[in-house]
Amino acid sequence: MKNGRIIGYMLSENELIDGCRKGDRAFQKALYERYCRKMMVVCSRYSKSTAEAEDVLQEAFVKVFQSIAGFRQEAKLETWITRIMVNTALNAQRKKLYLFPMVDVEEINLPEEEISIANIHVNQLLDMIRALPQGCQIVFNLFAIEGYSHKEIAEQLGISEGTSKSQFSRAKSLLQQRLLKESTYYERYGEAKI
Amino acid sequence: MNDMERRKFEDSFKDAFDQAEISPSESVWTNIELDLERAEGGKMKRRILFYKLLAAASVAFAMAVAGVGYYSLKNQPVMSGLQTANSNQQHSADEANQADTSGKASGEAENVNARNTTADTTPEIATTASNEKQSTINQAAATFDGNVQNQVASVRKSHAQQSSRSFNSSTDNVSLVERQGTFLPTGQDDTHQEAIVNHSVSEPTSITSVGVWNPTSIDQLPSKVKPTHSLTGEEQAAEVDPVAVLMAKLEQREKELRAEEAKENKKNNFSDERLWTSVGFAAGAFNAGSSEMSASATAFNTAANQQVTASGVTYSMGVSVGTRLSNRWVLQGGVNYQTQSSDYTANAVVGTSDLQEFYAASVNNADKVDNRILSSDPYSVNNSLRFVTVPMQAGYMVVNKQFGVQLNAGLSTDLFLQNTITPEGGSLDKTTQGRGEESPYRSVNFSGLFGTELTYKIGNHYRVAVNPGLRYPLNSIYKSDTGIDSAPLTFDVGLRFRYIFQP
Repeated sequence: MKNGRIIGYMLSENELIDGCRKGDRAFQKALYERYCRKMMVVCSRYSKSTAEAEDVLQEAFVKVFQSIAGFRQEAKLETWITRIMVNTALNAQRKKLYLFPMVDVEEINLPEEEISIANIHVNQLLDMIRALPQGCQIVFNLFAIEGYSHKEIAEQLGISEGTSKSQFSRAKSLLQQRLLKESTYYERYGEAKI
Repeated sequence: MNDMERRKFEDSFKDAFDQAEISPSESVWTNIELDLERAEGGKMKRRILFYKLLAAASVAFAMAVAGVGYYSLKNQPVMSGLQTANSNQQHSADEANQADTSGKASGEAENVNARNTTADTTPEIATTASNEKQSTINQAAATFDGNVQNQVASVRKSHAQQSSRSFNSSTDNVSLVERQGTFLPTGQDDTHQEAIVNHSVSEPTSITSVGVWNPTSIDQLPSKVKPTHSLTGEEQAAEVDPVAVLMAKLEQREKELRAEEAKENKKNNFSDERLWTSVGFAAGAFNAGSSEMSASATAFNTAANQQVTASGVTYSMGVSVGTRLSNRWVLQGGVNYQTQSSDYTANAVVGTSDLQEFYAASVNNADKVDNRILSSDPYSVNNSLRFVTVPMQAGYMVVNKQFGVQLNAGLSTDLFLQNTITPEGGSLDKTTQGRGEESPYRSVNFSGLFGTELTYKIGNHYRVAVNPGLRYPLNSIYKSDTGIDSAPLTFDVGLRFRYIFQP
């Protein structure tokens, strides 16, 4: 039971949860091994750097292990862990947002052309999201990827719904501009920059 | 771009990240493990703290039973220790005197000359120990007094002179004599001095031919410099160097004093007492002489007046926590359960309207006065008050050694619990009055506290304390509408047992 990576893939979700509830370090490591890579993506989307993302990942996993006793299994374990990751990331970002509060931003005219991200590597997409302004990054993640409504985002971040919408629009247009450049590059040179 | 395309744009991002994976660095899990262990360690610490408190409370209970006897026994060795220290000093002085006498026997003329050099040699002795605490060393030098210093000077002087005389006698002695002869007048550093002394002590045979020494003083030597075999007078004199002997004695005494001081410092180390908890109980008496009742002299009022002016005894027990604010100042707080009990004589009873039940006349029945008051033969009544008190005191440590003296002053919030009136004889029922709107007692009272705390440290973690103190109520325990003003002054003596948390 020493190697969490080995037992992690052999155990069912319930077994993992039970083991973690008992505080068994091997089960905790198994759970971590199972979800850490996916969760690292979640944390990275809300962070500006890998180090920052790892800090959030660490803090969130500690919360997972400390509160797994209260997990009632109404949702999938992965969904529950993702929610903890997002909340922890938002808590970390809130401190910055307190200093630089989100405000309504001017809408940028979206490009008329259809832009596909099919040929763009996920790492590039991640870089693009990370390059967004702080508020845009958070709202885009919450709205486009996590699937929250603007109302929920507004409540969670303590901003107005209009601010959430305008931040999202700005994020989207910035991403589209960037994607447009990338697709032009791809058309010219035939491969994506990774 | 229409809405559908826009939705498609967002979904494409969602899909792109859905199955994406990035490996975090290995250090993340290590840090998670550390965080988890730290959190678990915190829980464990709290658990340990609980058990420590439990253990301290248990020991305190045992101490409460046998505390006083143990205390007096524990104090005796301290006194005898002091006496021993004094007798040691006396003994040293005696030894020095004897050495002086023997020194005189060895050569009066040289001794006279040597006395003149005392002023020069004394600083050397002080310098020997100057690396350590000066006061202690001065004390060490003082222990030997002028006689010893004279003797040292005398022997050194004679030794120096004899050294020069014996210069030609033996080549082996020359080197040693030269070393010692050079050392004494010039006052070289401690290391050299000690080296010579050690050399002389550990190798007594190497100094056999140095100087002439009176064998009568050999019994007063430290055992390590005594010759192990029996010799005749001159042989013994040739066996032991008197300089080495006296230096060894000095060194020995110095070591003893240093050891004593180190032991004392260790004992008196109060700086590690930063936080403590204590349990204890106290017993005392209160005097309600200043209490008064503004009412007409009916039989009922006479009984009630006797109740409020009766003096009695008080007991309390509780726990407290203390912390040091600075080197001398401490802050202590806690929770106590306190009872005040007094007896008074009543000559009236209070009955219900149907005269089926009767109670002893007391302040508690004041609202029943209109119903039925009946005069009776005098009978004794026990009046018991119970409080939960929350004292908060600042203390100043006058003495903060192993034995400590602390002056405390502060404020106590006294929460009234209940009053019980117990008529003696069994003909009347016991009655209890709690707190509340209808109660004649104030629910919250305040008292000023002043007291001293005499403590004695036992081991690293424990300290027992006796604390006599005064308690003066800042308000009457009776509500103002009762017309009674009672502020009994309480004097009690508590025995506390402290558990000191080590940092």
